[in-house]
Amino acid sequence: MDIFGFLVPSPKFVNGLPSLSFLDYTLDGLIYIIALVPIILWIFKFNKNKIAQVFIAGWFLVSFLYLIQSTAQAYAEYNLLGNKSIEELRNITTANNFYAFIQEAKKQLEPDEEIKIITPEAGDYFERKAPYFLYPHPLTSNAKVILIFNLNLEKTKNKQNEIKLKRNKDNEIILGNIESIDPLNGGYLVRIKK
Amino acid sequence: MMILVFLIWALLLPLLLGVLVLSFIDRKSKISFGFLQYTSYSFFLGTSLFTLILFLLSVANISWDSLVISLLLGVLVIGVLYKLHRNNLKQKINRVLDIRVYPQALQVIVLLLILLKLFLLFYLATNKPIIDWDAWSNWSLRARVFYTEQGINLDKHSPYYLGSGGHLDYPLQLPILEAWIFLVLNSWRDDMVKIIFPLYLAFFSAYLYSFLSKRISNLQSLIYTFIFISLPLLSFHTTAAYIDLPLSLYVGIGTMLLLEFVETRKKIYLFLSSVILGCAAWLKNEGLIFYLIFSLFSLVLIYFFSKKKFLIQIRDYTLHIVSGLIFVLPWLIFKLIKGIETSSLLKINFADFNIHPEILSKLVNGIISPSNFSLLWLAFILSLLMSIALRDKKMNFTLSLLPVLFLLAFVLIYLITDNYRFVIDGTVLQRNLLTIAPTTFWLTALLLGNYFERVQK
Repeated sequence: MDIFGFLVPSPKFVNGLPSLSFLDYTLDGLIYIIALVPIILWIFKFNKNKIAQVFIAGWFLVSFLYLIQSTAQAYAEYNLLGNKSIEELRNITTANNFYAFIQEAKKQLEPDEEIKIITPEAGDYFERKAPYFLYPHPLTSNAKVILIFNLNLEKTKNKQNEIKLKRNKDNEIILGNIESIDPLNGGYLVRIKK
Repeated sequence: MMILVFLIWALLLPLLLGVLVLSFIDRKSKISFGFLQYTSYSFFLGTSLFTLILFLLSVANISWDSLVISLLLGVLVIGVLYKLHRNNLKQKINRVLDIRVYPQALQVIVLLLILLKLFLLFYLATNKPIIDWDAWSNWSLRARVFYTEQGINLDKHSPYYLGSGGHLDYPLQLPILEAWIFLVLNSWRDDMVKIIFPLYLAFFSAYLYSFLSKRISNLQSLIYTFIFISLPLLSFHTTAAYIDLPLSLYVGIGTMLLLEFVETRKKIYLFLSSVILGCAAWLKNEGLIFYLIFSLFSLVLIYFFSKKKFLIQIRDYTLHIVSGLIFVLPWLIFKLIKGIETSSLLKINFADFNIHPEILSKLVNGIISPSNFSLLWLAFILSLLMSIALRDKKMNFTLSLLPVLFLLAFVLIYLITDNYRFVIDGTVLQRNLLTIAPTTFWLTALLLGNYFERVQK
């Protein structure tokens, strides 16, 4: 067991941010030990006031270690996020450059134009987050402007002006009567004839 | 730099409004709050009242124009504050600055640790935009809509009706407060807006310290305050922009005021407690549960400690207990008029009624997992056992029933309503436990603190 493993941070990335959970397991173990101390002292009939004192000291120590963890987290995030603009920050903290994709699409949209979004999986993170970035555009299921994110388009053999795409855990989706397809960084903007 | 000035102005206004209202209350019935308690309570009260006013303005079809509202309220607040305090303002400022008891070295060290932790939480909250699911899918999306439309979207046919977000029955304090900050900043800064959360925590910590230091030593009060702001789940929520952190802190202050009432028997504390718990219901539907339990618990307490006949007691105290309805009713009435579901929280599916005992193991896991609340629940149980072993009959021991009642209320809801699903999928359990944590914490601190103190003596 690497007792001092927590001294060597090896950040994982969650939502584009460093997740320094390297202290958690060490701290959990320590907390269980501190939790046992008052029980043992109680069994050996120690003075109740002494038990309180020892317990609070242990709890304070754990809190101090959490402070060290917060400091490491802040330092790691500063290295990644410090001195960035809000636009850059939104892009870094949204997976797969989804924010940049939306911003690029928005440049080609009319104000308040209704939109439908198709993402790799029905109801996934991207589909749910779309209204947050796309507002004030209403998101409706039958909109004539369709944003397709992180999916490949294929032309069908049957008809012209028809494309198909395949989502995870889903049947193929076929879009017909296509007016235009604009490739974007990370997806497409598809317009259906009105 | 300018953005900081606007940010401070945006948050100063609700604070001043709170100070103003509290000054009126204080003038009529003397409240023995220290400076920290006074300011902290004012911030909590002020943000709720301010957002309620904005809500009512919007319902009356009056657009929120930040400049007009800022100027009007600013002039009003500063003018009345000056009038109220013109005689004793100088005296009060001198009293605040007159620190006769110089802190010992150890106290200074713990204070520095608290400040460092708060600084880190401020940084970790505001260094990135809103990235946590419920924060953007509900609260902040609504804030963005309100900001852009300079008011609440009341068009039922709009996809952004009431700001959208999937939970139309949720109250609007947080989205309105966020929208207000966007308005004053004049931009959608979903990084800076998160300053609200560490600020609530900072004010609560100041209140907690002040409250504890009246009852146990300064050093211990500082140590407990440090331990409190270090609770891992609390730290996470301070940076995540969920509503549950403010809710838990409102409930914490409300229950502390209940102890003040029990200790002093002054009705004003019951009034203040009711008001702040009423505000909790304006934050989130769960706040209603806390408010209802508080009302019933207060009646029981009054029955036991008052020597008058019960009906006379009810006549004497009811007005104070129900004063929180000022904050509870507007949103409830609005929902009834607009035909919005009152609360999905208490929805029992009678057609397919089932009890769901499978949530109990999840509940136990949530409580004992140290990476949520560190040693809080163990400390609570330990302090209760010690109180029983030492036959401690102090009132804070009686009030320890409160977190137990809160927890039982949640368990009941999980057992008999559809909400059990959200316990199973891990959505609500931790955050509901968080809402009980501050109350559990201050009770634990007082109970344990008493024993610690005995060793010192």
